[in-house]
Amino acid sequence: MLRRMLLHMAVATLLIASAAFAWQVMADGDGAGSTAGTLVRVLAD
Amino acid sequence: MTTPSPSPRLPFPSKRAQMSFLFLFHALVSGGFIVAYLTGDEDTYGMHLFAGYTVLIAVAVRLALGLIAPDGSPLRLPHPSRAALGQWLGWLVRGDSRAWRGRPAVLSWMAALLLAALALVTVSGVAADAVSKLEHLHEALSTLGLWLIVGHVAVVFGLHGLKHLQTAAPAPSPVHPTSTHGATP
Repeated sequence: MLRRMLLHMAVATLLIASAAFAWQVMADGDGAGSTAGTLVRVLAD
Repeated sequence: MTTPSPSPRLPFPSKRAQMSFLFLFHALVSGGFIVAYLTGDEDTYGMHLFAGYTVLIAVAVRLALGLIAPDGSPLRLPHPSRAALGQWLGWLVRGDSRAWRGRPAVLSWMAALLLAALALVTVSGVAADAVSKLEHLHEALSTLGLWLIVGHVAVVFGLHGLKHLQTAAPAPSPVHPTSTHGATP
C-alpha cells in the first residue's frame, strides 16, 4: 500500500509540475523562445 | 397498519471509491505542495499559483466530504484523542506490537494537524496574493507545513520499518515437550 501511495504521489507531482509549467508558459505568452526561458528559470529554481 | 419508513440516507460512494478518492487527494496534495514549495520565486509565480490552487481545491473538497461522510467512512474527519495518543506512546516505548499494527493513534493526530496546516497555508496564500504584507505569514506557515510533512513521512516510514522488523524477526521457538521435566511419554 505504501509503495502504491508513493507511486501515486510521484505521478501526481510530475503531472502537476507539467500542468503548472504549461500554465506559466501560457500566462507569460511572450511568443517564441519563452518556453525555453521559462524552463531554464524553473530548473534554476 | 403501516410501519414508519426509515429516514432516507444520502447515497454515498462505496468504500473502495472513497479509498480511491483518499489516494487521489493524498497524491494531489503532496504533489501540489512540492511544486508550490519549489516555485515560490517571483519568476515562477504562475506555477506557484497553479500548484497552490490545486492544493486549496483538494483540501476544500476533502474537508467538505469529511463533514458529510457517514459514520464509519474513511472520509470522516480525524478525531484525535489525547488518551489514545498516550496509550500509543506507552505501547511504542514498551515495544508492544500494537503500536504499529492497524491504524496508530499518532496518524490521526498527524492527519488533523496536516489538514489544518494545509488549509492555513493555502488560505494565507490566497490572502497574500491580494495583500503583499501577508507574504511573510504565508512563508512561515509554508515552512511549518513542510516540517509537519517531514514529520509525517518520518512517522509513516518508522512505523513501516517497525512492522517489517517484527515480521522479519524469527518467532520464539516453542519449548519441546520432551525437554520438560516430569513429562509422561
